[in-house]
Amino acid sequence: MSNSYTTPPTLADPSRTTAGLTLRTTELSRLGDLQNYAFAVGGCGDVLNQYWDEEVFEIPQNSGANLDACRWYIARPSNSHNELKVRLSAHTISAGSTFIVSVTFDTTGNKYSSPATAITDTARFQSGFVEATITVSGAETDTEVLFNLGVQAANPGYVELAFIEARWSPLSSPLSAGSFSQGSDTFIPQGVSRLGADLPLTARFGVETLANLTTLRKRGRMLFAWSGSLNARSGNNPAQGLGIFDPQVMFSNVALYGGMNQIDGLEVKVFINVVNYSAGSVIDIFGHRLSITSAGWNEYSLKLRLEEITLSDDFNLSMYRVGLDDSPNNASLLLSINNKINTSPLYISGLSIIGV
Amino acid sequence: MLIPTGFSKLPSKEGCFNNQILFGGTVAQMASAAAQLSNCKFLGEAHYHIGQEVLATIGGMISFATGTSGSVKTNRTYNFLYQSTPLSSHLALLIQYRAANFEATNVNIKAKLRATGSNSYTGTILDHGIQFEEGLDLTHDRDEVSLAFTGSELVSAPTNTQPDPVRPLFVPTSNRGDLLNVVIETTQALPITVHIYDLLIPEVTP
Repeated sequence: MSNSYTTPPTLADPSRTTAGLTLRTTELSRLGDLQNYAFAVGGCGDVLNQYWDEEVFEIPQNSGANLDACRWYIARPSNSHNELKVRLSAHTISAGSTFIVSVTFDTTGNKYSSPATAITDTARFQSGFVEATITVSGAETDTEVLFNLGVQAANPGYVELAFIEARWSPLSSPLSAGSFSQGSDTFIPQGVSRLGADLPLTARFGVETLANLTTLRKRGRMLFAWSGSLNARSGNNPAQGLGIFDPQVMFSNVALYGGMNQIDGLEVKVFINVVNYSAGSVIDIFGHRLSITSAGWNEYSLKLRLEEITLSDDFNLSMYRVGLDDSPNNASLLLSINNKINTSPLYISGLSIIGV
Repeated sequence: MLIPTGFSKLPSKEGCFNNQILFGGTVAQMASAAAQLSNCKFLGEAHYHIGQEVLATIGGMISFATGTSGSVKTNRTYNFLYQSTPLSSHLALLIQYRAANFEATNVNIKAKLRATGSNSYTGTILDHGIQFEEGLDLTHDRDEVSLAFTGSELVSAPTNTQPDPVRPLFVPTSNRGDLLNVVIETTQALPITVHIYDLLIPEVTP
């Protein structure tokens, strides 16, 4: 009995199960295959994307030590997705510069880092991007993790960033026997050959399939992620926090699926990283007014309450504008000519949004 | 079959117990819900914000023309990595940008698709791509952010060697699931966000 899956996936045909037609084992076998595929591969697209234009974000040398550049919260597909591939485009002024990426799990406090990886290009887009791998070696249950990018620029000089991209590696086929976890939910892989001809169709298959589908619907999708710069070199001025212009661009037009408000556990999670916390501030994101309650990362679980946008017609999906709202409240909260960072106001240095 | 685009209510698990008649409807609902996951929910997408220089004393963006890098420059090339999925066949692009100077130059944005073998920015061209034209696909506006969109037509595999009018980029079958490079070249236009989407194929033959 193999918990295998097919790539690209083959679909079970619902019309083959209507009255008057024989319920073929093909449909059931494919249904098992498809569940295994969705668990192994689903959510293994991009989980982090950010870009800086030319000469915008340069990290200085720091006496040979690592400097944090950015932080984001990212989605993790399941407790078994333990390999994160990170691609960085950057160039260095002096040979010997490196970067290290890491993920930290809130529940255990454990942190897993990539090896220091050399940055070899000496000009923007000179040769190629660099890939680093983080391996999660412990049993971790968080499905949202804190991701950190650190850079060690060689002396003398600096490292200039162009972009970062990351994805979790899919699980290979066949999935191992036994049950898997996604946060606190369970997924039971299906033995595809067990669903073949002349074998009994057990009640267990149906019950487990329904539970698996419920689990997979909760799996997170990255809808938006942005981090301000944490350590730029003197004279180089990337954004450190969200500014008054940003409601025009700090959002994604994304699909959210009908029924999510009617089913438990299907919520959008918003993470904001707050600097210079002061009590009583609120921010408008995803159509909700959110109270900021502490310095550092604030987390919110939100139901969908937005109106669809006209792009729905083009995408054949229910599309929504998900991100920082264009509101008078945000105009007074965000960095601006009347709210300068050099006066130490509260500001937002990171925004991540994870949907289902 | 039509791919469902919503989370429809699942059948009761009691319907699967022993001594129950397992109607086809129960299995059909499971099949539809599984197809929604694989062919709709877990399609890929990538959302890039392109950081620009800001005023040091303010620390955040207050407009889209501040600083040296924020002003429109000619002939820039951007590389946007995109982790495709096994079902990525057509990629739609939504680009927020600012463009001006239509009267003096030929303002345009080109997009093409490359492979990323050996982590290269100049891998094999998979789709020679498209061009957004001034006055047709691009808006002349010095002050406001504009939006360029490829549309969502499910085109056949293209054969062009020069940029086509706007359409989604096409991912060859053999490259689906690969790490791809969406290369964007601008002339007198400055992008501020680039969003890349797998397009939903509404009807699939099982």
